[in-house]
Amino acid sequence: MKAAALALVGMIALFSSGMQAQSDPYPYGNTVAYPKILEKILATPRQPLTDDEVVKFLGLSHENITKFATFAAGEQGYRRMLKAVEDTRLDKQTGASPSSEGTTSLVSKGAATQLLALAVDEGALARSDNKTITTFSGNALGLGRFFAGAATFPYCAVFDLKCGSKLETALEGVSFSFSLDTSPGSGTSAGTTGGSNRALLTGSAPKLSSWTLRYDFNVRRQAAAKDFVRQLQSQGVGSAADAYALALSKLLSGFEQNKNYTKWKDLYHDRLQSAQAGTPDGLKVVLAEALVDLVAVAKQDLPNFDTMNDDFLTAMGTYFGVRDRAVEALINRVTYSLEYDNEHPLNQPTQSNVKFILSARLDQGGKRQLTLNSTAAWYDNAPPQGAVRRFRDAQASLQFDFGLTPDSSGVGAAMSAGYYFQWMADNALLTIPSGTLAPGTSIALPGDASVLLNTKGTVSIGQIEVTLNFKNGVKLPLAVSYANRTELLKASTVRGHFGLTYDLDSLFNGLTGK
Amino acid sequence: MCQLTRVGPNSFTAPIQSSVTLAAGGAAAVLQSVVYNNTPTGADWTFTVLQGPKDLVVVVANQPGETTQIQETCANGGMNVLDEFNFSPIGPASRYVVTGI
Repeated sequence: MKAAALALVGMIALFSSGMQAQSDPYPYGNTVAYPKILEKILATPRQPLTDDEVVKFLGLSHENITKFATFAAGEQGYRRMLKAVEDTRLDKQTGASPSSEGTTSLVSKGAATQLLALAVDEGALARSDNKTITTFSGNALGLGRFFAGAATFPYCAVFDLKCGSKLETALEGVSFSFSLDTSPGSGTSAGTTGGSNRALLTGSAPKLSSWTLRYDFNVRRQAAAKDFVRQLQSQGVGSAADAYALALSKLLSGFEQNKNYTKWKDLYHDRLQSAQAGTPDGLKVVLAEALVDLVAVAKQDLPNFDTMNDDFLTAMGTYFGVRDRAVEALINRVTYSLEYDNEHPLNQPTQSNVKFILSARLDQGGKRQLTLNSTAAWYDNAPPQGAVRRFRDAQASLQFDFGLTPDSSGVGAAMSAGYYFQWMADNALLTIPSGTLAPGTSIALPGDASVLLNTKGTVSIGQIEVTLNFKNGVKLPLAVSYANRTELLKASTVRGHFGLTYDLDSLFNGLTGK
Repeated sequence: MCQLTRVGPNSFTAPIQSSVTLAAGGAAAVLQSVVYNNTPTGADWTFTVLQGPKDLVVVVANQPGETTQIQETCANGGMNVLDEFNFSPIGPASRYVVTGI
């Protein structure tokens, strides 16, 4: 019997652990809202509770609502709620690093994906070859939790600085990505001119285009009260809060007058004051059974409970996400990231980049964001015979993002304008595969030869991009860019780019949903 | 003069057709939504009491763990405290029943 009760507690903890702060081990009960009542329950000697205290502790209000709704919906419902939280975030880096082949990003953004993302970019910016690059990116902590089968995405409000351990916070900053060239056949040149150089840019592509390691320094600080209030009074937050409150009101409409709910209250009024509930373990069992019984009453007596609970969890996740984003600008106004990229460009020696990323939110709602990148790049191996310097280039870029649509919009849209500058310290180095014709000649080169091109100097690129964000976690970036030249071709180009990003944080959260 | 009279920890009565305005108390407390009888009040946080028991849902935000009050703003300028609790980011909504009599 005791084993069964503990198993019940364990099962409930599995479903609801992600919703509870680590300091709250109880599956039900308003332990955070009314901590003094909890103290009385567990006091030695036992102190009697007033009727009002029992009602407050067990009532469907405060955190009991969240514990009740997430347990009733099971893991699917919890993931649905988290998907809604994720859907409100716009500023994650999901594509390849901007110096990678085929990427449509001018800058690396200030937040990495939480679990896993898959991005497909079509077109290149600083390179001369149009490619399709597929990027997988992931977060160490999120993936570890996912494969460990624990609560994969514990929700912590961004302004709850005590939620989550220091180890979790540290690991959360570690992310990685790798990009694969998935172009069909060989790359195709897109330069308008360039003569013989263009011929060097074609050929069979390496499978691995680049890999990246990154650490985000999430420096969070407590917001001043007046700033906190001002942020949360914005229109978008109020709309999401109304939807959340309305969904809750509909979910539990008339429940207070339900006879079985009244019986449940009477039963657990007594059990909460029983000897069994006087110890932490005993209280957990009582509260776990209370939760199971309460959900049974709701499923039996509330019409369309499951459907309305799904709607409620989505509305709750949306409100939590919008609320977090509103105050994130205060809590996490500026973020710093350090990134290492190892690139395997087509027919060029492998290169390493170290990048510093600075991201700042400019407005109260977090809809305007400025991102700065600075990068140094070098060849992994010293160029043969000292043909060029090992230090290859330096890059700097900035991008301004701003949201175009309100949070309540079904399809979100964001616009960005960016500028990218690259200084080539020396002429570019190419590796020509065996059998390739020398530039401008019909002479077949005997083997892996290295050639120098007259490509020393600066590259400037400007880009305007519109990104459509769909609620199912799919993002569609569309961009137009102008470059005075590319790395290897000294000719200006105007290009259109498009991408397709599957934010798998969002998709995984909804994997078992509707 | 206040309209809401407490009859239980989460239950109140009020005269039918009386106007009730809510507010949040606490250094960083801010009302986010008030829904009475399945209808949001809008940003004035005011509703007119209907006959019989009706659900009242209040969403508030505050710094985690901070003492938070749900208050009625009374006609004489005073405050009628309906609820006082420590704010939890995962439990920002509270539910009450207001019975119009």
